[in-house]
Formats: sequence, C-alpha cells, structure tokens
Amino acid sequence: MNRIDLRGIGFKDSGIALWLFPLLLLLVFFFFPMGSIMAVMFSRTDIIDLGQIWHPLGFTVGQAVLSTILTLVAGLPAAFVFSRFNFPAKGFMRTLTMLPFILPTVVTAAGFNALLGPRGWINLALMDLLETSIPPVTFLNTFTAILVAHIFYNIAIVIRVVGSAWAQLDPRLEESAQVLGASPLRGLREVILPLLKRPILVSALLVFLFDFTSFGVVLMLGGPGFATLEVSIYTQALSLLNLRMAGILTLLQLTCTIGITIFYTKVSSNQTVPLFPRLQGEGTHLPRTWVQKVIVLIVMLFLFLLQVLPLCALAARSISRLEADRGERGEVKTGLTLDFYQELFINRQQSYFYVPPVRAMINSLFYAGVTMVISTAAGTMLAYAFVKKPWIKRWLDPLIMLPFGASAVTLGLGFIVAFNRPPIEAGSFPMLVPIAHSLIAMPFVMRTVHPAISSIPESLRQSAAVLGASPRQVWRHVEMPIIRRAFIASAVFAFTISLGEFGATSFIASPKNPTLPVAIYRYLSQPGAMNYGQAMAMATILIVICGISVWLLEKLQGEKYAGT
Amino acid sequence: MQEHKGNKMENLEVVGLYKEYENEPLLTGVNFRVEPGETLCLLGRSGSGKSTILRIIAGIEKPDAGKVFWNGKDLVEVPTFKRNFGLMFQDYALFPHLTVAENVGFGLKMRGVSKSEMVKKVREALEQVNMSSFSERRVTDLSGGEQQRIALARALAPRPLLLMLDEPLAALDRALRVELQEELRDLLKKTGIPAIYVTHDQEEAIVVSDRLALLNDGRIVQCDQTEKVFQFPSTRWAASFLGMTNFIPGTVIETYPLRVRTDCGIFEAWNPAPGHPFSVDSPVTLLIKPKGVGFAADLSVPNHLSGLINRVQFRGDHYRLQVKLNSYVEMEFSSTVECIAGQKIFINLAPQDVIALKE
Repeated sequence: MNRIDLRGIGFKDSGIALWLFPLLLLLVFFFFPMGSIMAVMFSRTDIIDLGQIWHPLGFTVGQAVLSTILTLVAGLPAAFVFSRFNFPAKGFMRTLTMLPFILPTVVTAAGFNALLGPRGWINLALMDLLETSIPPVTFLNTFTAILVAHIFYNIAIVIRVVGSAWAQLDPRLEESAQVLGASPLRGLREVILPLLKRPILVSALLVFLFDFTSFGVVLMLGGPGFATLEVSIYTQALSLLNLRMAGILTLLQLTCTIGITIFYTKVSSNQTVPLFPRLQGEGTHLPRTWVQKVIVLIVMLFLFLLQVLPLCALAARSISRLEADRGERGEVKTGLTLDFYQELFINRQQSYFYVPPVRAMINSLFYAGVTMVISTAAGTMLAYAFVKKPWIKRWLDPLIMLPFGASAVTLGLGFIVAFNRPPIEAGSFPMLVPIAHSLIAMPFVMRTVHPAISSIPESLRQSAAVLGASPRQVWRHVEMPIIRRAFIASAVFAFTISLGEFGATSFIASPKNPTLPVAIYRYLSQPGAMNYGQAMAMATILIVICGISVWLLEKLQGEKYAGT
Repeated sequence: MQEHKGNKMENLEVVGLYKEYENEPLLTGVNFRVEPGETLCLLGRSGSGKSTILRIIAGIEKPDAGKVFWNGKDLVEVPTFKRNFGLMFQDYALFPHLTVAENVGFGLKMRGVSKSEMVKKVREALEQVNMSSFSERRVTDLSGGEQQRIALARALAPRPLLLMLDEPLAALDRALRVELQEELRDLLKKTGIPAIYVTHDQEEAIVVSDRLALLNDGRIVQCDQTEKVFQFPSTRWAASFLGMTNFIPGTVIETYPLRVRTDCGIFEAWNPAPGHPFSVDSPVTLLIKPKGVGFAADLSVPNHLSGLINRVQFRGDHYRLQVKLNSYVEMEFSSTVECIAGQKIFINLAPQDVIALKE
C-alpha cells in the first residue's frame, strides 16, 4: 500500500495498511506479554495462598463499590449545577474539575499529602497551635484517604458524562412534569433520573473501572494496610518475587476488567434514550431562588475544597520551607523559598540509585513526545479504518480497549516477564515505556478522532474530487482542516496520559531512567524536608503542564462546539 | 387547586405583565382575561413573547412585574405544580421513557389518583383524541400527528382548570394541521375547559378561537371577538399583520358621519372604536377592504373609486386584482368574476368597508 491510500478517498480493498500497525502493536506488546504471564504462571511452582487472592479481591471490589457510590453522590449534584445554572466563574470551575482527572496519581497523592499528611499544612498548623510534635490528623494510610482520593480523581467523569446528558435533556420535560402536578423533587425522580439512567450507569461503570484498577492512590495514600489486586500484583511481582501468584492475580484482574469493559462498551454504545436536540445554552439560567443559590454555592464550595485545596496546598508547599532538613540542627529558617526548584537541577550524585530530578523530567518529556507520535498515528489510522470498514470496528474496537481495561500494572508486569532478553529487554530498552503508554493512550486517541472523521460526509470528498482535487489534496484541504482540532486534542491527551502514567512505568522504567511520577514517588517516600520539598516541586511542575493541557483541551472542545 | 368542573365563575386575569429578556423588554404591560369556557387566541409574530406569557401563567417563569389571578386570587406564591393548569408545548415534551398510557396518566399519578380510576381516565382521555389503540406504544414510535394527540390527551386527562396550547400544530404539515384545527376546536368546546391558544397562524386562530388577542411590541394591541378583529382591526399594525394591504392617509373633515379627505377623493369611513371619536383636521389612515369590484358605479353606497387593472392573479376561488387608482396609488382587490389587465373597473364601498385607523 502506498501513502496515498491513507488519504481520503484512495482506500481500496480492506484498508489493511490502516489497521495492521495498531494490530501488530497490540499483538507484540499486549497479547505476547499477557501470554508470557500465563506461561510463567503455569511453569512456576511458587506457593499459592488462597487468602492472598480472596483478600485483595474482596477489598478491591468493596472499595470500588463504595468509592463509586460516593463519587456518584458527590458528582450528581455537581452535574446538575453545571448543566442547569449559569454563574460567575462557571467555565473556570469546569476546567478545574477536569484537571484532577488527568493529573497523575502521584500528584494527587502528593496533593493530599501536602494538605493532610503528617507534614501537610493542616498538621503543621495544628502542631504549632497545640504545641505538640505528633501530627494530630491521621489521614494518610487510612481507608478514608483512598475514598477521598477516588472521589477527587473521578468526580469529573460523573460531571462530564451525566452533566452533558443532563444539559442535552429538553428542559420542557421538567417543566411539563411540573405543569402536570409534579413537585421539583418528584419530577427529578419520575422524569429526570429515569432519563439519565443510562448516562449515570455509564459514568458509574467507568468510575468503578478506574477505582477497581486503582494503583497509585492505594499504594501511596492507603499505605501498607490496604492492597487492591493491582497493588498485590505489584508487591507479589516486585517485592516477593512470586510471579506465579502475580500471574494468578493478573488473570483474575484481567477477567474482571474485561467483564466491566464489555459491559461498559455495551451500555455506552446502546444509547437508546432519545434526547431532544436543543440550542446551546438553552435551559441554563442564573440561580433564581435562594434555594438554587445555596445549592450552587454549596456545590462549588465542595468542589473547591475537594479539588482545588489539595493542589493549592501542594503548590504552596513547594515554595515554603517549614521544617528542618535532614542533618540540619538548631533554628529552622522558615519562609518562602525556591530552593526545592533550584535543587531539581543540581546533580548531587551520592548513591548509585540517585538520579537527578532534571533527568527524570527530560525522560518524561521524551517519553511523552514519543507516545504522542505513536499513539496519535496508530489511533488515527484505526479511526480511519473504522470509518472505512465498520466491520473492523466490531472486532478490533474491543481489542484495543483491552490494554486500557487490563490496567497499567498488568501491562507493566507483562512487559518485564515477556521482554527479558535482548534485543528487547525491560530496563535497558527505553522504547518500552512509550510503547506501553501508547497502548494506554491509543483508545483515547481513536475515540477522539473517530467522531470527527465519521462526521465528514462522503459527498464532501466526492464534491472536492469533482472540483479537481486529488486524493492528497482532498485530505489536505478538506479532511485535515475538519479533523484538525480533534487530532490536536488527541495528541494533547496522549501527551498528558504519558506524562502522568505511573503503574506501568513503575515496572518498566529502569531505576536509572525514571519518569517524573516515579521520581516523585521515590522522593515522597524518602525522609527529609529537602526530598519532600523536591517531590512537591516536581508535582507542581506536573500540575502546571496538566493545567495547560486541560486548558488546551477545553479550548479545542469549546471551539468545536461553537462550530467555528 | 381543584379540578375543572365547568364552574361558570372561573376566570383568569392577567394584569400588567412586564418581562425583560436579555435586557430587552419583551412584554411591556400585557392585560387580558379568559372567561369561563372560552378559547382565547394569542396571535403575534414569532418572538413576540406569546410563549413567555403562557410560561408565566403556568408559573414556569416569573414576570418582572405584573400579576396573574385565578378567580381573583393572586397566583404569585402558587408553584407550577399546584396550579392545576394544563400546558401543551410546541414540541409536545412527551416523556420518552414512558408509554403512551403512562404519559397520559402522569398528571393523574402526581395527584395520587387510584390505579383503577387512572386506567379509566386515561382510557377516556385517549378516546377523546381517537388514540385508544395506542396506549401501550412507546411515544418515540409515534408520528408527529399522533404525538400531538397524545400531548393533548396528557394535558386534558387531569381536567385542568385552564388549558394552554403553545403553537400546538406548528410542527405538523399543512393538511394535517387543517384537519386537527377542527378537531381541536370541537374538543375544546366539548370539554368546556377555558383555553389560551398561542399561534402565529391567522387561519388557525380564526378556526379555533372565540376571542382573539393581537400581540405586538410586548403588549396586546387589540382583543376582541375573532370576527370583529378581522372586520375592524383597530390599528394599522393590526390590519397589516392580518394581511390587509390597502392603506391611504387622509385628514378628517367631518366627524359625523366620519368623512376623510385623501388623494383618491373623499371617503365616508367607519370608526371601529366609537368611544374614541376623531376630531376634525386630525390625520388618519384609511383601510380599504379589498372588495366591491364592479363595472359601474353603485350609487347605493357612498364611496366610489375607479381605476385600471394592472395585473390579474388567479387564486383558486377568486381573482386578485392590482388596480391603479391614480398615477401613484395602487391597491389590491378581489373579484369572483374574471377580469383582464388594462380593463377599467369601479370599486363601490360601504362605510364599513373603509375603516379609519388611528396612527
């Protein structure tokens, strides 16, 4: 196949050139590693303790169910407020709620650490106030911390999925119910909630999937007392070196996530509730009654406390010196400082495992760049293949969702089991990290670009061709301008996913070449104010990059909706 | 509030409604009454605030000023769901997750009507709109006309005190619209529920309404029996809006009988508002009805015009004539007799065919 075939109307036969590369990527870097895990599982004779299977499974399901319920309880009022009211700073708050969703889990963990951890603002303030040296608030390493972080992380899903469906709902349905005698609460129960049943279910499944495969949050905020399947796989494989056990847990995890993913795909694609099309912004208004004003205020205050405060605490902590560094004696100089940032660029090579943070930053940016190229190329090719040949979508779409559903830790474990000898050896082959990231980002890219490509009517290509445009020109002058925004958005998305990915990277990245999240995790778990401060500084840098990404994504999406 | 029982005393009164929309005044003092059992039609251009009036009466929106009274009781503190009014939306707003019967029974369910009673009332409501066999269907499977009937049945089922219909036929094609106009009219008369019918379609308004309220610039410019409004529009805007085109400016030279001098001669005209007489020398616009075409002057009426036919258009059951009355005045008349362009004709008009309009 030549290059022209990628461009517009030049597709012939099965479009194999379009889906072969993504499929090869999947076969070599997903199915082969998964197969290797299975092979190891059956070949090893490590001791299997059934309790070590049921306990994490029970905990994983339990915390995921509870987290999902709490996320819905917190997210539905927010979805209501965003879809029905206009208020000052609404756009800003929307963007802010989106930010945690793409924030790396290490940053989330660091944020709560900075706010509520033993060296966090609240504990430091209370210790100062109560003149004690023991932190009075215990938040880290508690079940509450896991739940709160999960809500923080996933509330955006509920707000986005349910909120957008709610905003699409014809406000006249609500009004109709009221004219017919339904009180606002009754109308909510009888009309709105039944109509939103599907989006609520879709968001709940997605939240459940993320909570079920939660790794960084449980590892860093839950501490040693709590282990999800993901964390157990990690400890069994890397700490206890029981690969058989890790394999069994992986298989269990994979079965569960595939089940959830299949159910999710079925529910989300089967959108049968007809939501009446309506004008943008219709049905939203300023809060009128005092009840409405109070609701908006409470919801925004809640979102601010939950989502903004930890990030602010983190950023503030990265520029404040509040306690003594290791080895420092006497009076501690407290106050604002840029030391933690300056220290990131200083190479204090004292130990073999020490890696200067700037190195981690360069690694992260490099990996993110490569991931962006691989995943946007593969994802866009897939999107084209799916548009051209819908039958390919039917069987390939669930397959490319697998790495996403299989979870990052599984993927990481698969990589170190499968690629353990040259030429591809985990730890020395640097491309494995961006490849793993690309597998995770590919479904996102495909799902972002696909609607844009399928929105181009065939007649547009045909009329361009009739007007004398070659297939290449059709692609350049007709298709590319139409899909450009979606394409850029998917690239930004892929870049950000790679930047924050922690689960798979923690397995694959060699100790000498960590990424930013891995480095943050390391610094966070080491003693000393300088290490803590540097972790905060690195996390703040990630927040800034993610903030810019979210802003870009919102802008691209906003322009798309405005139809410009 | 109670349900409709045909109480002769029930009436709605709207007083001084004022409402701004995006800092532009939309309603600037709307007043009208709906009497027991009557259908009042609100006729006005799109965007004139007709729907907003209904939404205010229903309690969905609050006016910036003004009040709505039911039997003299101010409704300001009564929430929408306690008013027991019916409102049928232009796009029907049927609940897509419920069946036809569940949609129709929704209002009854909200009122806590027993199940057996509900089944009976839903059946009755569906019978009223000839949709009995559709009760278990999904509303999303229905055609536009069927949806319209279900929406009407849903609004009628709880026997509302007042029924409001917001452009109920606008989404349908012309043939169906004509058919349903008649049905709607009959149904409203049969149930005896007072109704406010909003439309921008004159023909619909004529068929359905007992009284007509013309809405312009945020206020009611004329409110009267439908026939009277068409016969004697009170302002130039009202006449133009109703499709009348023959206007000629003049000056009052005598008040009784009302005589007006114009560029086409002196007319004996009709004052549609005898309570507000014209004074001598005041400027006035005459509306000339498009009738009275003949081939000779008819001396039994006081007003005569003559002119040359400029153009003839066949309009099915009549001919539309463009007549040049003098070098710069042209008017349109209709004739049932075939005419040809270039022919000289006479227009003979009674005083009632020449309406004096206030500027």
